[in-house]
Amino acid sequence: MMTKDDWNDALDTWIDSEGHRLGGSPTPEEVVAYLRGELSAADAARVRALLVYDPALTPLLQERTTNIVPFRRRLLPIAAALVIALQTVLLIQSRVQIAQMNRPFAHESRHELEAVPLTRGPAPPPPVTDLPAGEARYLLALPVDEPSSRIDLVDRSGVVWSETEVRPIEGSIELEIPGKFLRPGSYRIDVYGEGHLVKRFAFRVR
Amino acid sequence: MGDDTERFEELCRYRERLEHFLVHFGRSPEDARDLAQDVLIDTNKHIDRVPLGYEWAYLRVAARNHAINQATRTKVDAPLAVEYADPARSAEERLIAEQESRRFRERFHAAFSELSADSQQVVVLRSRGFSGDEIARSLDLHPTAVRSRQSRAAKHLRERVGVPPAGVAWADLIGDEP
Repeated sequence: MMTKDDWNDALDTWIDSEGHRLGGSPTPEEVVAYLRGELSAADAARVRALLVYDPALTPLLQERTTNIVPFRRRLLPIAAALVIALQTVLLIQSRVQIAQMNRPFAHESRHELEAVPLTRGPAPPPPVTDLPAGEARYLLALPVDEPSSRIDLVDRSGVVWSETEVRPIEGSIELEIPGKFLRPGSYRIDVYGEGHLVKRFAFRVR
Repeated sequence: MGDDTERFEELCRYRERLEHFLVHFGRSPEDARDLAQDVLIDTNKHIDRVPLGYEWAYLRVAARNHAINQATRTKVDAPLAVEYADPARSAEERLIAEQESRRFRERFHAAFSELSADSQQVVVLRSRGFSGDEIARSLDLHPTAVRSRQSRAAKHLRERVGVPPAGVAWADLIGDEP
């Protein structure tokens, strides 16, 4: 029947033998390097074990935790917070992008101008579009099949805006006219092909 | 040069603490005083190896190593342990008890060596009376991890060595605070 002393002696014997197996006493330089977190993982494990097994040096273990571990523990929440913040920013960005992609693209009726082709002879007056205030651009779709070298926006004073190298897509040319060129009044659009007038359109805004 | 003098003066501020440590380590007050002086002079010879703020840790390890080396050199003979034969036991019974004790130590050594380093260290610190929180701080483990390692070690020792007698708190399953 083994007694309490037998168990304690057995543990002490194991500690002695393990201390010798690990190379005996650590040097002061090794201990300082361990406390400063400068050792490789294997060396740190060995020095830590020797500090544990030597009661005279065991209190030094807590010096390491007061120096290094709190610093590391302070860094962890900061790093975690940064990761969460970054993820939040990315999430918001992606949601904004998705929202922008889902938003109707410039086809809202109030952005769209309506023009009619001008023909020889009497014609009804062109339609009038209300100009919402503060819009940067207005969309104008014109039924034109052939590539055009230039498109002019003309009012009473002459050409107020031009666009070059416009190519039709599925029988239509889409223009984005900057809002600053449009004032209430009547406008004509001249579409030029290979140096000659191809089509004319008219619209009014108020 | 001025810096070296200042650092030596800084080291000397630990003299008294060093002497206390050496007395606690088993030296007489006179021995402790002499040894502390040796340690301070030795440390000052390579003061460049002692980072600022780590003077006490360095001195403590150096003092401990000096004390052990000195003891080995002087080889102070420990008083001989006198074993008295228990008159109630026969020679055969004593032989059986010794064999049983040796087999127990061998079983314990093998079983304890099979534990992870963390578990071994948790048990050793617990045997020295450290609380769970102190062990956690010393080994940079979470208190829950300390308890689980303690429990695992105790279970392993029970299976491989046997049920510990009362009073061997470091080998119990529950891992109560000492």
